[in-house]
Amino acid sequence: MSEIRRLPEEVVNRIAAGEVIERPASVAKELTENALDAGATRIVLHIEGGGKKRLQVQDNGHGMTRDELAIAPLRYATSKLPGDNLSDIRSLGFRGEALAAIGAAGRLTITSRRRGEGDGWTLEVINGHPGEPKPVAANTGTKVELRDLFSNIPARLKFLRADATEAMRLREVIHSLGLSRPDVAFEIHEAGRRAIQMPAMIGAGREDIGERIAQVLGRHFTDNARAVEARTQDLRIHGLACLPTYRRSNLSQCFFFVNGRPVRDRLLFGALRAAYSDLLPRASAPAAVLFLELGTDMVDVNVHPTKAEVRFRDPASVRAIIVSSVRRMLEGQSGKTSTTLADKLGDRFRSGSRETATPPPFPSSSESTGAITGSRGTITGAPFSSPSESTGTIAARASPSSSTETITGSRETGTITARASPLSSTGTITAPPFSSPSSSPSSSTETTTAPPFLSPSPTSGDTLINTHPDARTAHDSRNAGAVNVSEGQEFPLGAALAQIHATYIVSQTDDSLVITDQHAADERLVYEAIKKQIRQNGVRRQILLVPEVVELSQQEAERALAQENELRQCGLVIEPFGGNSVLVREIPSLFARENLTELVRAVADKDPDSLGRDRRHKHTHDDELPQTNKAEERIHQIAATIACHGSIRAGKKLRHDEMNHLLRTMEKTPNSGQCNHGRPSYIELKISALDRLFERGGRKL
Amino acid sequence: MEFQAAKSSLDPILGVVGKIVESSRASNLGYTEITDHFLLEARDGVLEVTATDTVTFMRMACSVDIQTPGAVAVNAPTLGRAVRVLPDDNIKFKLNDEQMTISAGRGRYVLPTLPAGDYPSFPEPEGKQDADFKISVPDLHHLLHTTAVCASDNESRYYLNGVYLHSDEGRLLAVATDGMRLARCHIKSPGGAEKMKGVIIPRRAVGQIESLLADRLKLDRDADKEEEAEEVREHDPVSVSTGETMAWFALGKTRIATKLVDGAFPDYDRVIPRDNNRLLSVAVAPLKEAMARALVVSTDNVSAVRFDLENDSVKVSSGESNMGNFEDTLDAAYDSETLAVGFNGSLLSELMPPLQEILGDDGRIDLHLLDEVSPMLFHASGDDPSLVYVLMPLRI
Repeated sequence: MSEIRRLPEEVVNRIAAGEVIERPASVAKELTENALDAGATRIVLHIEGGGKKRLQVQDNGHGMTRDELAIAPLRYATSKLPGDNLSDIRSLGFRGEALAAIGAAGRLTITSRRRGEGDGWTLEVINGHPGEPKPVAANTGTKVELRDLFSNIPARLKFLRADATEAMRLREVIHSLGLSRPDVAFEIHEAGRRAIQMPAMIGAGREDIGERIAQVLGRHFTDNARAVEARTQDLRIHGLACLPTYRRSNLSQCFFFVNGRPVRDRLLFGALRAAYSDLLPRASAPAAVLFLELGTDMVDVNVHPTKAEVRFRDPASVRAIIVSSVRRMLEGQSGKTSTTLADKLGDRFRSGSRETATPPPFPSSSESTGAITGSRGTITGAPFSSPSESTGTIAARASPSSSTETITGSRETGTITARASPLSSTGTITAPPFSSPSSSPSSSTETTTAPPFLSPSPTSGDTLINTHPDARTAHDSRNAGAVNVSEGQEFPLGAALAQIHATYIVSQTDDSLVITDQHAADERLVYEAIKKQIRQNGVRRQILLVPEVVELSQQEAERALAQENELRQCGLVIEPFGGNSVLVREIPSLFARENLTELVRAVADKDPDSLGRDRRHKHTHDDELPQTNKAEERIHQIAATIACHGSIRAGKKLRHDEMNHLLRTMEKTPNSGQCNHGRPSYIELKISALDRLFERGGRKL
Repeated sequence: MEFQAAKSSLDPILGVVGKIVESSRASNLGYTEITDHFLLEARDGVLEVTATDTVTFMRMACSVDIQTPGAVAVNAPTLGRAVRVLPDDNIKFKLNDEQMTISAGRGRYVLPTLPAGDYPSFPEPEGKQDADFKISVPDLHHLLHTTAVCASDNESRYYLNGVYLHSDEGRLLAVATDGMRLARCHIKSPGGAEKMKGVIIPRRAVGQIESLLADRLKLDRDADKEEEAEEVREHDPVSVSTGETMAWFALGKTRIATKLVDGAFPDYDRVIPRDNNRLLSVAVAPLKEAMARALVVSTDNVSAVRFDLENDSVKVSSGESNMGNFEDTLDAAYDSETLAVGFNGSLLSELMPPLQEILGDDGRIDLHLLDEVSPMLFHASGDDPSLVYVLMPLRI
């Protein structure tokens, strides 16, 4: 039996090195944080061999005196805890471990000159033993150089990755520090070549972060992100978070800073995920740069040797402020989809027209052709009509100067080409029906709902268009009132012009063309409506006259019945019906009479216990959440499934008033820019962008 | 092919037949290039105009002056609009090199055509059909008009996408349901229909037939007004034939042939409640108006409306937290305990017009209820109603 003894300093340092110093990136982090704590405004890193062979950090901070330098590499030597108060930590470092640990992990040379002093001093640390400082010529500031990392700890060396990988991790660390300090210039030189340059934002406060974020994450991110800002008594959050349509496959573009300290804390990531839940597809992640500020007594940074994780005194309110502020930003964007999408569309148009250098003739199959003619986005209508009247008016007025553009889409090639029709100079979206106007007052919905011919048929594409500004479109009394759009009102999604391929609604506003995916849009609307009902008085349930029997597999039936309660909360009442069947007795009244069998199958398809597995897969953190949140999440998941199956399907022909109704409802619904799976529900193409595509210049608006 | 037709006889025909093309075009069902055309056939002094959406065919005829008989297909919307705007005169049609010249006065259209052979042929009954009978225009209109509104448009339950016409104990019945409400209407069976097997007429075809019958009824009413002094005219009845997969309807020179919905209509009789022991009697016109008012403050597809049944009154209310709410109280005859029941207001509201047409403005309807979750039965006041509706409540 061996006796208890104190470990020699050398061994202690090696153990500490194992905790603090994992790889070159952690060395760079510790040294750069030291530089920032020393008040540097410019930090330059030189690395070779991914930082394994050589890693040097040079700053222009206040430097050290000879005496300070002599003890700096010793364990627990630091200048950063002036009152020895661990609950009031304002510097990045404070443990006094870094240099000692680094010194134990390789050949360390520190050179420093105190600001205002004539001489610099240099000191070597070999195997954790600091030598004597020697005078040397040096610039103000400190230069720390580490060579041959882990050469004395081969076990560690083995765990390091390829040079390129280590260099990449190191860059990530510097990026992250760079985000927290736009007022400091950072440079990384890899094998003598400048790899990263982040010039200081001159005159920038710590919060003028936009430009630095653009340097780190690219313009693309800043163009597609919106400001997040919130403040409570103890907490403040600010920064940028992306629109849901700008999404990443992992969390590499999520940066959190707690009191300026970069952290990768699971609680924070979990909260961000929660804010984007049901706006992003399952396997994707948001992007954000968020700064959290709170009293130093509200957070414990002394939890983790590398300080990547922190502990909050009040984690619930931290989570709440993140979720609510990001959510508010997202809901305020109701509807904005990222410009990326419009850009992508523009690219498609461009590439499409390149592929078909000579515009093809009208496709002979009339089914795949829709001619869209329209004036500039005015909807005029009866100012108000009572729902008991079964007619409403939608008429678009053609302004005499507007020229008609005809878009033809050809299903076979998938390309979209556009050309102007030279013969017609005006067009309206409504033409009178050719049936005799004396239609009987008691005719059925079949005939009253039939809209007039929208456009000339392809075979007569160039014949006279009979315009008729006051053409009336009769529509279903149920939806009357929904499209009573009076002139001059502003609608971000514009006036519906037509539906293409029974899937997309084309509408126009004063200055743009909007294409809406009817299924994605309606799915979001139904989902939000169900969620709202759940929050309020519970989901309204339509009792079925004839309960529907749904045949399932044994497993599906068991799963469906196991979730009977959650389903009931979402408005779907089922009960066992012998064998593998279930009987559907009641359905959510919002469920637009679509396919019940498919819905029940889809719900049964998801194993309720699989939720946890899914979430781990998402790298989130909800194990710490109270159980009720999981149940609620499950209910939302069911609601989303119902919405998906209950909403207007792609391929369903919509009437004009139905299209306008959908667009108007979207404008009023939060998060309507994406469906529940995070796909965009519409894209907007500015008329100026169209003008560019057609190489038109100088439109007078 | 060459003939002359009076605008006054051709224009209405193109309008009526054209409705099939319009609805096919609007719904994209059965819409192809050829079905966007009219088939024109001129022979024996008669011009026949045919349109189809491939499920339902409609053919109308008028007398014309024929120089050369023949047949050709012409784009339907173009022809319809062209004839409408030509002067009131004889219109000359002449087919030349696959182009149809249409002239009146000095105006002249030249339209492209497609060969008549490309047009789907009008299905004719072969051999003896399952049932052949004649039914008056008002009777058939009544059956279809009152029930079609309940037909489902949910394609996943395709067998509900129409009106189920069948006979039972000397009655001819029309039934339709969308799973949330049901309509059943019957008349005394016309001769020849007593043994017919049930058929499901697709709702689009029902719409075409109903619209044709409604036009005829209106013409008759107008004519009756003008000839008030003369004795009531004998109306042409509608000839109906039903087979395994098709049904035919003929009224004068107009014929409609339609494929049937291929499916079994569910046993509806057991969902019509028999034991509803609470009776509410209310005037139809005020109820219809109250429903219309209530629907103002409801969101699109869920228009939850609530009835609070109290002594001799019913309170109609609706509303969403963010849309405001509505409340109205109607006089009613009711003497059971108070009861509150919710339902989808649009589903009920759509049933009001046919009821009011039958009852007139002063009529009353009887609502039979059991409780707030069981089906409600209602019909025109009185015993043995020929038309009943069943509506399922909404849990609110």
